[in-house]
Amino acid sequence: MKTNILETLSSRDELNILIVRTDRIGDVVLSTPVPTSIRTAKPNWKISMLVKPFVAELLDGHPDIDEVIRLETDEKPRFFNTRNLVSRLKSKRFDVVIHLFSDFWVSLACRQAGIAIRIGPASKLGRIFYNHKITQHRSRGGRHETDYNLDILKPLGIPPVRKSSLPYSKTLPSYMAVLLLDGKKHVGIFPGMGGSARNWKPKKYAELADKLKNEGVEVILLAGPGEEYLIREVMGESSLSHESLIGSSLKDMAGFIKRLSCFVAPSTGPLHIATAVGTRAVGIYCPIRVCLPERWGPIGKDDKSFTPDVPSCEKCRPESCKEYDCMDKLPVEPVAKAVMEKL
Amino acid sequence: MKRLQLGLKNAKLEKKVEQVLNETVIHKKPFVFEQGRWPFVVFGAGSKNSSVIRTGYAQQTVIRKAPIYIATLAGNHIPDSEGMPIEELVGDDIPKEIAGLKVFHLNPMRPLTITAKKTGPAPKNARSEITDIYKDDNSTAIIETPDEAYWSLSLLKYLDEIDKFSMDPVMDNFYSRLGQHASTRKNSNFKN
Repeated sequence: MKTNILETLSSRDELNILIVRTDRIGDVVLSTPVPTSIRTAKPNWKISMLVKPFVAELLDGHPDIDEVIRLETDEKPRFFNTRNLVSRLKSKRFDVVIHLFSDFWVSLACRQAGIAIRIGPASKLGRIFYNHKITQHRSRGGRHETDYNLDILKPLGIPPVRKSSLPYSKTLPSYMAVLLLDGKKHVGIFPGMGGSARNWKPKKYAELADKLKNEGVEVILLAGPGEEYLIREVMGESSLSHESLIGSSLKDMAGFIKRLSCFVAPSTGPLHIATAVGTRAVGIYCPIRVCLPERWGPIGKDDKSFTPDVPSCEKCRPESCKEYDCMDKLPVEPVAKAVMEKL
Repeated sequence: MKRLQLGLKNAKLEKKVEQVLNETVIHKKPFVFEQGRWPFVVFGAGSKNSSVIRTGYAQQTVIRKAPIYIATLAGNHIPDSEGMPIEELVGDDIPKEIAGLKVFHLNPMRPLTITAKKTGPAPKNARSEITDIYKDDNSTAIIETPDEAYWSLSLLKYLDEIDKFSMDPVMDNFYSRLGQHASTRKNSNFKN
């Protein structure tokens, strides 16, 4: 019965569809294959995406997304900050909502807004508000986040297009443009991350920067808000003297990364931005099972990911781990080689 | 039937939560009920010289005017589910010790809203003064918490208590049907 409803819907020429992804930058970028798949299969469907305000700028102007809807706040959705969402969603008259990220209060708001078809993963609390559930075990890992996202489209019969994409600034502010020298190859190194996994120490990034510089490559350090200290630490450990970039809009950052020849970063949003704008990405990953590149690695065909050669683990427990600090066991040499091989 | 289940992180916190729940005093339960809304005033000592008074309400979440009942938010049998953090139900006005405290079983779904928070009389006078102010208000519950920072736990205890004695018609119907069902099965097995 349910399949029939979805079959009927998927055969319609016009449909008003909402995609929900209310978490962080990398998660949203890895979700962009979903609107692209829908647009490819159903060019006339109206596609909106609900995201947190700080991520929304990245998606504004995306050719496969007609409208970007912002949550009220960047904080975790709760009853208190999703109350107004109901009326906002109701006024848009969506036919279908696809929850790529299951949040209880956002799922409730979609239900309260009267969206008739609600598709989402069957594993989290928000499932009680879905009428079409897809069984997934994302926390067990094993598959890539993009594939988990595309799986949610299966009930609608949409063929997956496994390619992320983002709009970016075509012209850069002068303070960014001056960092790019004519006739030179530029590699960006982004040593920071949100803290969702373990990372190389600044000394390792400094060593990588020096190796690349010795090969005649221009190295530019980038950091997000609050991670300026990392730039200083990496510069302190390396022979780099100036090229660094701190603070820009996300779209300008995407435009800047687009102009680089390669981008090196740990498991963080900007690494996925690199892939989405067509810059080769090289990722530094830790061996914690839910953080592995098999789940979170960059998805470009020339991208590469590295993890230390130690057994994967469930959780980082420094006090009882004989491999600690495993990230020190990931050498710089193969990473530098991977960067250089396709410059 | 146990209605509220909390996932406690450690023994120290368990002791504190137990103390707050045991020492919470419900001075007055409302006599007049408004459908789906439970107004309250909760107070407790803030310092030696003053108490902290919060007024607000618990309101049942609804979908198209139909109240939401959720018997179990999560449990070991549901993969990838970890309950609901308490701040999602009560807001951010909680001590850091209980931040992220998981609520595993809740019924009905009834987030709390604080409309006013102010300092009041010294703790030794607070009880008499506050109960006096609200003595004619038959729709507002009066709850005294042993520690004003843990007001939210006292509120959850109050809601749990009031549900036991004033079961609402939907839940009443639900539990009575559960009872009939169990009884029928028993008889059937007996015959076989």
